[in-house]
Amino acid sequence: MKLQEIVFEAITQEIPSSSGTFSLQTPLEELGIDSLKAITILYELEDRLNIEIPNDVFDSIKNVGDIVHQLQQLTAGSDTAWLEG
Amino acid sequence: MAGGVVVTGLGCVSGLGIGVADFWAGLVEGRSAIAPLTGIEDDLNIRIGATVRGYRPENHFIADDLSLLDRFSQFAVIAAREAMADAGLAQDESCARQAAAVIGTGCGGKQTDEETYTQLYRKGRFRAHPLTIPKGMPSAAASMVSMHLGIKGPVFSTASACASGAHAISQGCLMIKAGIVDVALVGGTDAPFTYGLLKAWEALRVVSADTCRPFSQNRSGIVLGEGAGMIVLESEAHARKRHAGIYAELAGCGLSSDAGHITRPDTNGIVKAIESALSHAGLVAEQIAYINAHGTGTQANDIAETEALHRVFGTHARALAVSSTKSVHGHALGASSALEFVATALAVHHGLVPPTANFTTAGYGCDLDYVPNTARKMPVEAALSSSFAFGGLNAVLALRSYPSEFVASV
Repeated sequence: MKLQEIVFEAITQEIPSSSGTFSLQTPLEELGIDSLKAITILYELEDRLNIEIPNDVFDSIKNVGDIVHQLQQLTAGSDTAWLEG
Repeated sequence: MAGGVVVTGLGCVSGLGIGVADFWAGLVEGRSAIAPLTGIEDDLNIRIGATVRGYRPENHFIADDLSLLDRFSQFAVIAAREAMADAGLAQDESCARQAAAVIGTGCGGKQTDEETYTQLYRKGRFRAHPLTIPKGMPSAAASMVSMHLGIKGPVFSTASACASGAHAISQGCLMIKAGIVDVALVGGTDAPFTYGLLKAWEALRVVSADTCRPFSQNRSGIVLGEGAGMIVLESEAHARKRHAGIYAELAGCGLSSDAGHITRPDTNGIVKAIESALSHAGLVAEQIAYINAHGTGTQANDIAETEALHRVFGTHARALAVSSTKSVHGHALGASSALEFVATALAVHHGLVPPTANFTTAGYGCDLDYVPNTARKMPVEAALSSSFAFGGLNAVLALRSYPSEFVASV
């Protein structure tokens, strides 16, 4: 599964009503993702990807694409060959 | 205009179901909600309890709200909604904005805490769930009641083990008497059926394997329950002005601490709390017709409580109707005293005293009229609801009947 799909899935799991309504450019605020929901999504992604997301990443994510981008950087070179994205 | 504090709304969740109607019907029938626990771990010795059977959270909350609500907060909000609706205040946003909410809990969000600790300690997860603190903190129920009901006055929680709800009720009463608020939503909530907490209670060796038989010779300890009791208290002037139905007057509160043993009750502390409640209420002993006892069903409590009643009431002690409704709804810890206050208010209102269920024969040192197994129709001019918590924290609430032209029509 691509990283982007994993992020989309995590967002949809936290905000079921957002399913199919957003793109990489969608601001998190537009999806009703406040700071508490954002850290919950990151928590699920940490578990799913078996990585630790540092606190400063949290400060830099404003839209869906930011999450994907940050995770790409965090997983680059690590043992996540099953990821394609 | 009169300056008392009156009870104008009631709500509850208990082993008898959701709502005051099922609760009261079960109490009056002496139909104990204590039953075998289902779906629990094999290595637990505690196998019985009074849980809210058939409870489906999704019937009461949308998914987005549920993710933030521990079970103890869910019970609090459900009971609070009922109490505010019962008082006719559910749609009164301006009243809610000024109102207080004080919610007692003995345990806090144990389900949330234990789920996180299971992930950390047993499953090796390195990070705790981000909602662990906001869901699990003991004040979460008070915050959630405030958020769901739009209550924006003084809001906080009280913690005094099994007297938490009674202390919350007394705080609401005192805030109204002090003129700080006109309306206070008060009560208690707890959801203690988690593996770790059951193990902790098991270790205290006070939990019965049989059932809860307060004051009986063959009593063998407490039986845990869960739920929430919520009460709308109102200044008499405010209630009368809006022609609210009134169940009873909360005439006074008596609070004391044993300053003695962390678990063993002290008759002196109990006596002091009862005498303080009578004094604060301006009642004399002979006016009390009914006492909803703490009545846990332990050897120590039931003897100490009976002795205290003899000391306070003298010859009138024999004329008292004394019952423990824990025999029906179990010991719901921080919720117990609030559920029992609801029961006491209804006993005063209906002139009907709920029985001590599961009663066999009176135990050693238990020589009062415990209203065994059958409810009793009798006039109740005034009544006490008593709670004597672990740690020696005592709270006794005195209720007085209200002139019939103003009473609630339920």
